[in-house]
Amino acid sequence: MTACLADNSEVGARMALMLAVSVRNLGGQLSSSPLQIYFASSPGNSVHRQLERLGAEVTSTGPLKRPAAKARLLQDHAERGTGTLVALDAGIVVLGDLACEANPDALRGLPQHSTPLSGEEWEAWLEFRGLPRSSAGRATSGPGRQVPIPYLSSAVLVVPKRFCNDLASSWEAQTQAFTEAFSSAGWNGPGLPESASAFTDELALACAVAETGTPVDPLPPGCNFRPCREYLEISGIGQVGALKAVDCRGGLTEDGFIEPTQFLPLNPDLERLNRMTAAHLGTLYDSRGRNDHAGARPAPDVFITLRSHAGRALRKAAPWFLSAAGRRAEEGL
Amino acid sequence: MSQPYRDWFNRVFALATSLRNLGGSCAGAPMYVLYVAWMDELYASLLQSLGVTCRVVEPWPSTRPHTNKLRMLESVELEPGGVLVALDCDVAILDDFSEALPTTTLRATPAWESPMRPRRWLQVIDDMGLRPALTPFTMIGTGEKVPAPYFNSGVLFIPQALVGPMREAWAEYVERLDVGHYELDPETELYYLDQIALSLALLKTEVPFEAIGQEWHLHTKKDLDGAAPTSPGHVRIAEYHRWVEEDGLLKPPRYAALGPDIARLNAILAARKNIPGDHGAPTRLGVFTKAAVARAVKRMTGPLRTGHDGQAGHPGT
Repeated sequence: MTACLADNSEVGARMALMLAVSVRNLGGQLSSSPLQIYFASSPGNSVHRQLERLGAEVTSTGPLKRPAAKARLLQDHAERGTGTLVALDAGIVVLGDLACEANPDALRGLPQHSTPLSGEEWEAWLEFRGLPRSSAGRATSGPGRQVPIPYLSSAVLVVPKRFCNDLASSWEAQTQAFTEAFSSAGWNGPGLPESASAFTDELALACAVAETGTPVDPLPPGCNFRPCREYLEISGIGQVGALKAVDCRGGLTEDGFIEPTQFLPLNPDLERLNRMTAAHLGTLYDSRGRNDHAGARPAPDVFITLRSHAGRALRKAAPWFLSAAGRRAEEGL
Repeated sequence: MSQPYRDWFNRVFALATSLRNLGGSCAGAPMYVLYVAWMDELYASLLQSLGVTCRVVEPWPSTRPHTNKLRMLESVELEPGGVLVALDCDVAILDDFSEALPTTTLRATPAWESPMRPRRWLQVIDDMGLRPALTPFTMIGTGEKVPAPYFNSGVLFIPQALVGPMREAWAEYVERLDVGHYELDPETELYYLDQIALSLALLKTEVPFEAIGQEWHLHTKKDLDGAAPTSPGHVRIAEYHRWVEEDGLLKPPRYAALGPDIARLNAILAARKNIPGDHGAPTRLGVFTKAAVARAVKRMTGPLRTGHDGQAGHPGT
């Protein structure tokens, strides 16, 4: 089952729709599995209708802040879902079969290369919370300084059902602890940088994984691909593994479509998604004026004008064409 | 059912895309495509991106390829309480059709017209040792009443519990009516062997059946803006047969109310297949002008033809 967390803004709703379009059209096994979209409050009727047409079940989480809302996805799956949960943020689009990435014995997520807390801050926090250290951590807080905890991106998580309940409960509790640490004036615990508060859900997820002892199996980069990374503009398609999920949050245009990325081989698929989303919205999609439109190739204005006059011109010329064809037929005989 | 050629792939791809994008609560349903004899692995992998499971099946032992659709009643796994929605590949889903899913009866739309007159039906029914239907069955297009439940087999809703009995009975009458066993008229009747056999199978078995309206199976080439016996409600499933462009986009329907739904599907298909251009609601004039241009260009540049190109099999199987 696929579940997605979206916010109620216009952009959030658009990203949820794009995700649903991508899952149903390119998701492989995910195409034929349940799809649930979580909003804080019920989105408008038109958004509802567009998502329902794609077979998405729209659920309201109520006034939960984002970090706690992510845990709700796992909690619901533990209670009502079957099989593996693919939990996605709304800015993700699916381009391949993420269901193949499931590992029945481990949580899968993309390890981050760095964390918002330093090694010392992690040590202090783990000590304070009584959490075990882990040698599975890959993230660093600086050159040669590995942090003692597996720090994963929460944007794409593949979670077997049997881990969902414990992980959800712990994630919620760890989120609460971090929220207090960041917001409480009389906080007596370890000091944490304010800038790290934007990553509360991922910090809490790391601690939940440590507390529950959930095994972690890293996802390959193509399953949570960030097309804004450096040097992608010189990378060919052979240098990157199979792209199955792409994080598009960094690049939406004013009209709510995905901008072309630095990684050129990706752009035709993103363009295709843009057009399909526009078709669902019932709007025309104009790819002209975008920086790289390697996907759809709309005719220049002059051809559109010519095409509209072609019918009239051809009907006038038809008798000549027919007589020319007749002469060819006679010559052939 | 499908065959492993490009124009068949276009139809199956359109069906799968329509289901996933417009099927509503049915959008995530398991979908199977059964290929007769062999399948092209590339086409199969393209369909897999839409969550479609492709399988190869043997041709049905019959002289008519339409009877291959009986393989759908034996090659697909159904959960208890599930429903088999057996579709011809030249069918498109336009909206959520879950309302039509039956629990206890076979459901289908009556055929537009009958290939046999009532007297001929009575003769065939008698030859098969059956009794005619208690209530005459009305053809949806012509209004003719026939003494047998004659359905269009292009869209069938069959509850899981009825699939086995239905398959057995249908197979029996396909064999009994086929060439060498019975004399169906090769010009007017044999083409509809599968549907006539289905009709007799329903007469023989105790499989309960129910006729449903055209909104669950409407042909896009039928002109319903004229004096039609009944006009459908909101159409959920459409059949287009050969009323389709070479690139797989559907031609505008003659039933004008269906236009926006077909246009929406075409826009999604065009985007998915990277077909350039605006695919809003093309006008009928625009389509016919385009077809006329294509014919004129072909006449000027193509080789001389003495006949028409045949098509392997028929899109309806």
